[in-house]
Amino acid sequence: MSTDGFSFSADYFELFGLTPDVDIDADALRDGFMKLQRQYHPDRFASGSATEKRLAVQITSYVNEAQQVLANPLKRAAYCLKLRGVDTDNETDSSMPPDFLMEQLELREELEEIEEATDPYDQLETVRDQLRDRQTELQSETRDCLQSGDLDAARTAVRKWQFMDKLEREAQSIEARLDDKL
Amino acid sequence: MALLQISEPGQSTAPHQHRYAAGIDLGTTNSLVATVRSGQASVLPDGQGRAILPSVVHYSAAGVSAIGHDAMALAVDDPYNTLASVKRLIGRSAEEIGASAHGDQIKLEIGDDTVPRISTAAGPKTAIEVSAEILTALRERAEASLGGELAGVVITVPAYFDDTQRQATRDAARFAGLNVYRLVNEPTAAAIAYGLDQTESESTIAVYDLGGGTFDISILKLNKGVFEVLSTAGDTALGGDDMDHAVVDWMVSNAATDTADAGARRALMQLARKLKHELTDAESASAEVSANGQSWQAQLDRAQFDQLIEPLIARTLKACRKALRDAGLRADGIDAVVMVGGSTRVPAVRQAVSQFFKRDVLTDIDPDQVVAIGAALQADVLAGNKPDSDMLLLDVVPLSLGLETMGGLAEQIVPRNTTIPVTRAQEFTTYKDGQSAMSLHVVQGERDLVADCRSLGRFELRGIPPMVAGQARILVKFQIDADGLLTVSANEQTSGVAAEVHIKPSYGLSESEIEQMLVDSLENAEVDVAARMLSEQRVEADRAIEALDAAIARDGDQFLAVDEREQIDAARSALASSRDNDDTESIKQAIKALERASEGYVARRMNASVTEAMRGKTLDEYQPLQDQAT
Repeated sequence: MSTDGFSFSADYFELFGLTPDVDIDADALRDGFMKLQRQYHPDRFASGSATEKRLAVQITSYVNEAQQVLANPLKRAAYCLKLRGVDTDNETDSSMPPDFLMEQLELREELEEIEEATDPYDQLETVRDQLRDRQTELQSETRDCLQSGDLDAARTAVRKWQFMDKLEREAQSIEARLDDKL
Repeated sequence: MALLQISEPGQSTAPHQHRYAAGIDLGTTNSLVATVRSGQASVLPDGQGRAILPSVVHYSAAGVSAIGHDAMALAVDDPYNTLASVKRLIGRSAEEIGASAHGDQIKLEIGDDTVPRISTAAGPKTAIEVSAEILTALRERAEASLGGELAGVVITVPAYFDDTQRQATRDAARFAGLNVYRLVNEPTAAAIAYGLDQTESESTIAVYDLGGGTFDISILKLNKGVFEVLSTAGDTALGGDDMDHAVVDWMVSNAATDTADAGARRALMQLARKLKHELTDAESASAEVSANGQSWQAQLDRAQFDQLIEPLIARTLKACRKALRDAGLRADGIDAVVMVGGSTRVPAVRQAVSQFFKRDVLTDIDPDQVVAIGAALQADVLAGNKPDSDMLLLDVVPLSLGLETMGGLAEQIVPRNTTIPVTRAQEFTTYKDGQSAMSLHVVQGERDLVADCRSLGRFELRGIPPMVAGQARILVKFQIDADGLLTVSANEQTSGVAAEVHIKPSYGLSESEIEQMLVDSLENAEVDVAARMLSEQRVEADRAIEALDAAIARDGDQFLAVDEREQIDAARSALASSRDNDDTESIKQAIKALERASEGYVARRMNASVTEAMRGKTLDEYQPLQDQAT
């Protein structure tokens, strides 16, 4: 066992032997992740030198971060854009199409009404289904835009997706509150 | 290095020497030690064939006089010198202990020290010292049994233990002369004991661990030998002891016994435990309760007992729901349920858990021994005795870690259940023009407000060169190593100014604090939202005022007529006074009023195309915030 031969300059996809894309083979990611963990996890160096232990921590930190980005479709899409020089994290840039802002507002209102509804779980499921469908659409949209090289459109799709993801997380905390009232 | 070469198959430079390794379950009520011999893991019994060592130490003036069963026998006669359940105290402050411990068990000495000490005939003792006595007894037992010194051990801790509690456990091991390879979460060890890593396909497992003093539910994913913790939840002040307390309370209410005396309560606790154990197999049990010269025949049947403990079981199921939610799973997504801890022998517990997960639960391995056995298997691997083993434990952060931001809000940097080791960085910026220092407050918890989270430490980044507000780029980095210890560093990107802190609080979160914080994050979510909105609105108000003041100072005379200036000033002072009220809506309205009053002024300033630097940040504050939804 050795910590030699690990490259911190590899991008996340390369690290796991994957082709950079919005869609990936989840099993391949998992296998690559496990392979690296088996090789470099600090437990593998429980009796190793201090240098090896330190390096093992650095390597697995990098591997864990990479895995967490690639395992999440939205983060993965944003990372694909980043690799092509497009930043999607700039929150001050808020120019979104008006129709999208409207859609977003409506979904938000639906979420806000759930807790007062007589059948909150059904309502929640309906909104969540919508959110999931929209995210799936936006995922294909991002993929297509990236393939055709339209980075601006891809960026807008990811930004929309980020809004939907945020709503999804709000839906989750609503569910947590509902569960708690049971 | 040498060892690494030895463990490389085919490249051995020396024949492999077997190392003695052991797994230790350092429990609240009972402790055990196990080891692997000829490929088989088993618990090592004492000279009298008993596997369990009660986690009890008795002190006399001369020092430790008895440990384990012998110490327990002295509990009724000499309660204050007989220390039990010290695991509830390890890594905690006196204040926290006072709030959570059953007051009849210990006498605390409050000194200047942050580490609380328990009064005994042999002088004040810390929970770490008491734990070290238990660990020493287990080490001696193992070494006598194996015929050699232990090279290293794996000690198990509840999944909920925070950094300080883990550190305190390590300290106790050091006092006991043990080399700790790794602390492993108890439920993870239990899954290892069941050999669930041997399964070919990927599977998801729930480990339901109801011990004497803690409850943990962990959702693990196993894939070709790799154990991954998907989520953990629990109730760190709930266990078999609470069942006993429920039975004692029932006795007291039925027999009108006075239990102000610690010895009497302990006697009742032992009776309650006896009844509980009998009810595991029998439909009813009875015992003679005698206290203060009176005696009463207690008769308890199983239905009554089930009713007494029903609220306790309900609390465990609530945590199960939360763990499933955090893992993004439903009950039917679980492939196996492992039962751990003596309290899972209670039929009502097995039944309720089986019903909840809609499947049979695993109970083949003695629920008291299963954790120690798993720890022994892992110790054997870490000692290098199984070089071909594929087994690997991937650990997660138990509670979210973050920083305090504007308005007393907590910004999560590393969310709970993130796989460790991990490094996360986030950029922050300055709030005021020319700000030369930034105070960083590291917090732990799930709540929105810093006041509701646990403070882990504070440090300052100084010497930031003078810049316009929002221009400095301060990168704050959280690094968590494989043992879960946190280091936070900050540096200003354009100038390279840096500061760093290792987080080592003097004691950790109290059990009830962690539990309470988790419970509150759910129950008070609505209060949080309101508090957060108020806080955000105040920050917004401060910004609006500050931006206005800066603009007026620069070019107010140039662009403002006298009456317009008066209107703006009036709106400004209205905002300044409503900012300090608790009414979010009125602050919002006042900000809008100020925006309206200054509309013309803002437009003129823009038209006049003032300098780039000025336009960048300050004018933005007056534009409608389309992005407010995000």
